[in-house]
Amino acid sequence: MAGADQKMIRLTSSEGTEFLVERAVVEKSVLLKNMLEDVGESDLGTIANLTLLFFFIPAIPLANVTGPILTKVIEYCTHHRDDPVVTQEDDGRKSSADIDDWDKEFCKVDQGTLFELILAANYLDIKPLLDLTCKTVANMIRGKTPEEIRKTFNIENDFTPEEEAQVKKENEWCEER
Amino acid sequence: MFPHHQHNNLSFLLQSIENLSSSELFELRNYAEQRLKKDILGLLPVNLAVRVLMSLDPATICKVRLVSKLWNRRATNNDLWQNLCIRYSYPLTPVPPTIPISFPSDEYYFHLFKHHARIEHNWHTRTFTVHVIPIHQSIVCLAGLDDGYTVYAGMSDCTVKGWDLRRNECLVTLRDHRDAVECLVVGKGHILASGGWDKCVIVYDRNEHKIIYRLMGHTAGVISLVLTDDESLLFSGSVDSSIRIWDVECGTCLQTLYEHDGTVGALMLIPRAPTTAMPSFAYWLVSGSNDHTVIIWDLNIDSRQTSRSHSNNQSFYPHIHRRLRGHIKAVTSLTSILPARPDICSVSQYDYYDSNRNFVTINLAKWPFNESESSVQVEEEMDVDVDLDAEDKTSIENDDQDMVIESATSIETNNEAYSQPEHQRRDRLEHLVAEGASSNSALRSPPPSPDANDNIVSTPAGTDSFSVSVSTTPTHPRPTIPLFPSSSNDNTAHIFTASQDGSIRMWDLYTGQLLGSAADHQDVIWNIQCD
Repeated sequence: MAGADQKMIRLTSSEGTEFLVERAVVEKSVLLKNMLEDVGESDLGTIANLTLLFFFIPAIPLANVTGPILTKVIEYCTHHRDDPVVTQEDDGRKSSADIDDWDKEFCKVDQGTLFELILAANYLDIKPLLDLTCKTVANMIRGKTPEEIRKTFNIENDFTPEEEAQVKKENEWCEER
Repeated sequence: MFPHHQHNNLSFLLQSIENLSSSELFELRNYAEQRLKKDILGLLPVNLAVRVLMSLDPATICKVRLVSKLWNRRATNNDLWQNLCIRYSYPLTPVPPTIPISFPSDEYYFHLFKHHARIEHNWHTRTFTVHVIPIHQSIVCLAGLDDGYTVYAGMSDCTVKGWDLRRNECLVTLRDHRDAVECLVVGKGHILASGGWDKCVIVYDRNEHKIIYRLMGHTAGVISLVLTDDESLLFSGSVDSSIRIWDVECGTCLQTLYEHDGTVGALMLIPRAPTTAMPSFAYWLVSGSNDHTVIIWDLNIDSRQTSRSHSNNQSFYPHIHRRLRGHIKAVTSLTSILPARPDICSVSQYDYYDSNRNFVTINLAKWPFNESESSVQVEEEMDVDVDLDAEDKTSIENDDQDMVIESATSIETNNEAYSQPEHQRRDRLEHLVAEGASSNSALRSPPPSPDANDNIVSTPAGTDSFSVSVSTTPTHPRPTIPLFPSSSNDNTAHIFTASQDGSIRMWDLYTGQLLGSAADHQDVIWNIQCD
């Protein structure tokens, strides 16, 4: 039943797929949280009939997020629904070591999905998810040679030999350490 | 949650794959692998790409710069490297103009970081030369030039000597003082000024080493000097408790400030941001005295123009902006933090030398809430922030070296481990405290008084030397968190005062409010510096 603490929200992905999500989960997204606060409480909580309820539930269209990505985002938010809100600014200094196992497993997706997840996390303003996905990408870069990085992300080396030598020269300072 | 037809597609595909040959499967696998890859960093908006790179270390980011042109642009981003500079506690202030590198503005912070990283690296690997200049008198004060090659020292034998560090030779010996030289100041242009116990200030032309003016007026030894950036005004603090303001161009005393009740031993100028009311040349003058107070003077130097035309006009008398009380002994040293740019104020710590000649770093992130946190490094270096050209190094890549002057005896010459300048100053101040403010002009430094370092100090005179090491700036413990949030605006300026009472106090320049104090030292603090 739609009690005071578990009001439901409808989210609509870009293709029109609807997701019924608990408000507490939705509020992991700062964007949606602010949106809901702006809309106000209305009389959602008083409706007992579920079928009726469905039509009264506010639907938020998310034109920038596809269904599969929204599924992943909701999965993340549901898992982390009880995490304390991190207010203090994290400058990304934390290393990769502090990614927990569930998060690691969560990020085992193809690069396209990871890319979309970063965009979605940024758009929806879910800072922990943005941090996690950015760190995951950083971990894919870390410890690799430039050639290995190119292979990992299917990138073509478009430097001329001269340009490459120039950049190498500019980089010398950090290799001598 | 996937739309239903996708499942149909997949099962159809799986059926088709069943019929493929192994070579076809291999091709398909390669194709699928490529399809699953995405140039994440290149396709993300710049701010998000920066966010990704932010969790990498500088060395890895440099590898990223080699991947492709697009990745190179991403990994050379200013925001990224500005952040790294802050994380590594590198100063964000503009590099000295003596550095021959011109940074493209869109890569400014990358090059700035590189510059500081190399300096730090050189420092750690001790890639620097140590110049030891043997002299036969005690040095009282030192001043270095921005070019990194010239050092001046004021001596107790009434001379000022200048050295060229490249050739390791004495450039000049100026024998114009009639008593020990106590303070030196080197201007950004051509001025060198020295003050001494003969009550006068001598202004030299540094290029020709000729006297421009001998400024007389003080009734006791001159022990502190400060010069404005444009070399138009000179301020001198004296044992006669006064501060005199001199016009360097015409050699006249513009004003004498008699607000202190004791020797003025520390002077500092803080430039003010130009405002419409005060278009230019506006400074705060901060003076510390043996009367235990610090006075912040409001100098609106623009009014000087009027005061010069009618020379007895009192309109130039600077009014006292604040008088800071709190120290219980003489104020010995002053320093300040000014936001280099309003949006980037990242000075997070400051360093000072304590009376035991330890190099102390206090992390400002803890101020003013926790006053007792300090780390001690047994190093003492005076950073004069100057740079050398590549020519005296074997490798052209070594162009980012800074110079550090280790005042008087250094760690290497530890058997004489008591710096003569500091000692002189200590003698003087101890003496003055004993004599009080009314000390007469015949005051001299007494012979070194017995103290814990007595056996060291009493090494025969004539063996004193001072070593100058050309090296990198000392590095700072990390990590440190920027103390002042980016919201710091132009109205934020903090000054630090050190005193004989062994405490350091932090004040707000504008309100005169005491923001914090640290009393970690057991003994007199002689010098504090802010990076």
